[in-house]
Amino acid sequence: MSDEKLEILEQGDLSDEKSVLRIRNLVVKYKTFQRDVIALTNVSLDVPRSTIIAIVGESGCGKSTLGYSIIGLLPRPPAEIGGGEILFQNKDILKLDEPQIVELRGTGISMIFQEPMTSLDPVYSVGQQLNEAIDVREKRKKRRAGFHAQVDTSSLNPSYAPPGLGQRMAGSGVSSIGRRNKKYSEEAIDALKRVHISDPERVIDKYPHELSGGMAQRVMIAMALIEKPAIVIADEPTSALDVTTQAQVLFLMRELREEIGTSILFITHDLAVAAQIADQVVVMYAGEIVEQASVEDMFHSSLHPYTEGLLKSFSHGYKDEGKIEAISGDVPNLKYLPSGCRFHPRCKYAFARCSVEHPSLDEVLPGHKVACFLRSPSSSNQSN
Amino acid sequence: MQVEIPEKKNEEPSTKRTRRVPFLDTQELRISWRIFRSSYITLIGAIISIVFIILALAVWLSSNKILPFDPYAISPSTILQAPSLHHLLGTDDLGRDILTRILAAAPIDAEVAFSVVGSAVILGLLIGGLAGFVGGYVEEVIMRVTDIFLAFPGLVLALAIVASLGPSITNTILALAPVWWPSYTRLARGETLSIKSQQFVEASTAAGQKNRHIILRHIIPNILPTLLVYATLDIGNVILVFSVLSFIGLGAQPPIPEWGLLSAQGEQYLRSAPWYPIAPALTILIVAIGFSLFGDGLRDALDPKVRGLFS
Amino acid sequence: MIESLDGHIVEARDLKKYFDVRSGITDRVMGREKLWVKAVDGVSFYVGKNETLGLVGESGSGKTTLGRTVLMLQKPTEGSVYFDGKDITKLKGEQLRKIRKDMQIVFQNPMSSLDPRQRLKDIVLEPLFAFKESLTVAEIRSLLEAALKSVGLPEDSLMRFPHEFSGGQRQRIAIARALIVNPRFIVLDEPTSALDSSIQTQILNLLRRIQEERKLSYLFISHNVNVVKYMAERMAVMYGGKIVEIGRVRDVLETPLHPYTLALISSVPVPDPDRKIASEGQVKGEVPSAVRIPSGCRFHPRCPYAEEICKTTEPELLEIKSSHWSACHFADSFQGKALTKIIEQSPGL
Repeated sequence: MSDEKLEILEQGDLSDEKSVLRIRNLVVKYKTFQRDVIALTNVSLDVPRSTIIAIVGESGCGKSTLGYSIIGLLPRPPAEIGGGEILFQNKDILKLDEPQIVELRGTGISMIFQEPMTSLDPVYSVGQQLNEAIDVREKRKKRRAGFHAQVDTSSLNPSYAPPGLGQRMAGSGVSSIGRRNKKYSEEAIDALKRVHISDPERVIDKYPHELSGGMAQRVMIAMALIEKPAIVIADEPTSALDVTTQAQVLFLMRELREEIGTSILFITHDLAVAAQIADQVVVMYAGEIVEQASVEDMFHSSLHPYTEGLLKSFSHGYKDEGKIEAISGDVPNLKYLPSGCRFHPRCKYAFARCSVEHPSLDEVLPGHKVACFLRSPSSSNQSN
Repeated sequence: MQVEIPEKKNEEPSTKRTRRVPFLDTQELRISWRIFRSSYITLIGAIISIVFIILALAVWLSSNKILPFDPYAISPSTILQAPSLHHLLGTDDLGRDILTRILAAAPIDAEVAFSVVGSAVILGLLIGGLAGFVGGYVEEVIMRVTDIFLAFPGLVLALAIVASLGPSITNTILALAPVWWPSYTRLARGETLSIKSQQFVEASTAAGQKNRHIILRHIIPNILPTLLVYATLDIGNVILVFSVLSFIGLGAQPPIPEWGLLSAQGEQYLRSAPWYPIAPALTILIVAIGFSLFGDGLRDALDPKVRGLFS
Repeated sequence: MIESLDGHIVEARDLKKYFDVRSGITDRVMGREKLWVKAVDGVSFYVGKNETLGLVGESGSGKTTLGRTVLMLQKPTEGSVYFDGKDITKLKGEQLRKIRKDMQIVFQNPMSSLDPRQRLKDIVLEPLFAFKESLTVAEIRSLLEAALKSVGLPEDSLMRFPHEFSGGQRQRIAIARALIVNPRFIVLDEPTSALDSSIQTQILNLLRRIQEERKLSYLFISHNVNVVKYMAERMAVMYGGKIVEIGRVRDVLETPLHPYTLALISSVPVPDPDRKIASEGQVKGEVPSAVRIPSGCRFHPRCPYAEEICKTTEPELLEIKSSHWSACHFADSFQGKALTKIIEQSPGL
């Protein structure tokens, strides 16, 4: 990667203070032997600083594709960006080449995954993996220091100022060999303490298979935060955990957001989990955003029939209190999307217009957007 | 809604045989073809393999009559001629047309390769499948016996057997089979263990199925593809080993044409008449590669999910 | 727990299932002490006729193993299972196979519980052919049609393969398969956990309808308390291989008598941003290793109310209130003090 390109990445226009990430009209397709699978259609989203946004949806809605697009992990064939842009620090990261994206990962954008066990390398101990993360960061700092560029830390909580570069290099004892060194820095221990692991000295020597699910997920979170990224994409981080462990991890994530000030894009299929953790909620269906609102508005006054249906599935009472209404039909096949509004075949409020025209995502109340002709009769017909 | 299960009646038995093998009707064949066609590698492999089989069959069925020349006719006047329009691959030291000899060897190599690999697959399937399914001491015993066989260097074992039985094609097959079956047994056992742990096998037990049924209907169809793919890779191997045996003099005996033997006989002419050893050696190479490429395609062709994509 | 066997379709008595961790030849030769994974360690319960018993627990609780053991898919290490009054633990071979007609199972994962190489009609018919040798084509046809209709699958799906169906549809196929032999008891092992939320309710409603129509009994295993609430009349809570609480669903959820039940209920997130899960702790730490079981009460290392006796003596499952049992030394006193304060904080209901 040439020096010149590195500078461009660093000296991006930082004057826009409000959003960490801006997605504009993103279209993602997967090419198959028969027809293209349209995974994302015209998805637009702004992620403000220090905000937790929950992306909620069922299988096939595109939430994971969205997460992977941002961090550049889409397998590119067969996936294809059909249009749109993702602006991070005002640069379209979809247009970056691989080395530039690698620079971005960890520092600007981090990701944690659903299965903590398989996301950690089984042949290295926790401490070694943490060291690796620290090492990557230090190497980047050294490179940048050489070009007199500043790491953008303005998005982070000012009271949590990372110690100076020199201090860290000198006092941390991080080996330049990185992974293979068994001496664990203070910082690695601190990272574990920060995620509420009560005896970090013992855990730091353990290998991933010796950890429980909840513990492993905490280690993942610790690793993701080492580089103090501006945004963390969490792809169903609690779905594989027991409910009691999940409660602990959600509590931890809320605390960390307070402390460090990272934005989190929390992808989940569970609306209730979203209610626990998010500031804003985005509901996706068949590759599109169908509703977006603050967490209070979404749960107290949701607008889209799909959201309504999902919320209902939590409201069942005891067995003798009767059955609750289920949303009929199945999640649509992304190769053969319904005409007009994609939800209309399953929607109990559907009327004539719904099968013909495709509603656009409109702001019908302040901060509350919905794509539905019922709620927004003035919604225009947006081409599919 | 109670549905009664009727008692056994004396009417015609139910037609509950389903098309289990995905190759036998035209729609399925078309899907298989599409899969092979989808990549150059598998296409080339498929073509080579099919051509080889067709040629071998044709030569065998016609008792060598369709060959351009007589593979055994010695003709002193045409010794060691370079490739020409008349003799496309030249002639050997006894004046015989090399192309004819190579083609005549096809059914022989085919017979050996398919017999050895075929018996290895069947033995491996049965023995390995049994070991994996039954477990316990039976499994331990079977696997240890397999290990013993595997511990022998294959070629040495084959040589020992052929040497004691006397060189002939049949004896070569008998010698090679014991060398080959252990790997398939191992493979089959491993696959059986992994299939056994799948929930649909548990579901079958829960449904009240007898073990015999489970093995036949669930385990074997699910481990067969892996064994078959491995087998295609092996066809080339068997031909190679057979060639080595013939090269040493313990496989096919002259004047019977066999690719390894032809290469051996031609070796001394490498400088003066290079076409003599190179042509048969190259044939071995092409056929071996062809089958392994075919194996790649076969793996996909036998996977119901991939077939779904191509239907 | 041992009431009369009348009216119970299934009854388990002191059921134990231990797995051998060290049984290889090397271990035996070296004379290593045997290590057991005590997946199910002394469980007794019953399922009444035409009723659903919910079984709730997290990973490592033993609920899945219990489901399998009740059906004799795993042989119990100790204890017995009675089906309709008969001790099935003593049965082997043919006799055991014949019982399977009456008790079936639906698994959690609709991807792996169907043989990917079989067509739908073969999958659904399989249990039938285990018991009856031959039927006429017409009979088969009508049974298949009825089965598909009862689970809401389209008729043209008969010749298709599992991968052509969605998760919810595959689960319907699994249910159709379980129903085709007219069982009286079905173990449902997390049947909706792998499905999307909008489909879950459909399948749950389907299961309830089928139960009403056919007067079936279910053992409904789940980690999701809300689902069990919707499906069951009575429920049992499992932890570390034992039942820690069992009773009517309303009683257990509204007045829990065991700290673990309380922790479980209060950890369930509810879709209301104003009712956040209170603090880090109704419970500390994580599920313990199944091999080295804590002394005394298995839950004591994580229990906020643990006292000396909890470390030394294992509590028995006792009937604290009418038909409401709990295995906790402080079951009756604990409901007095801590309950009111904690229920306020728990959004799980």
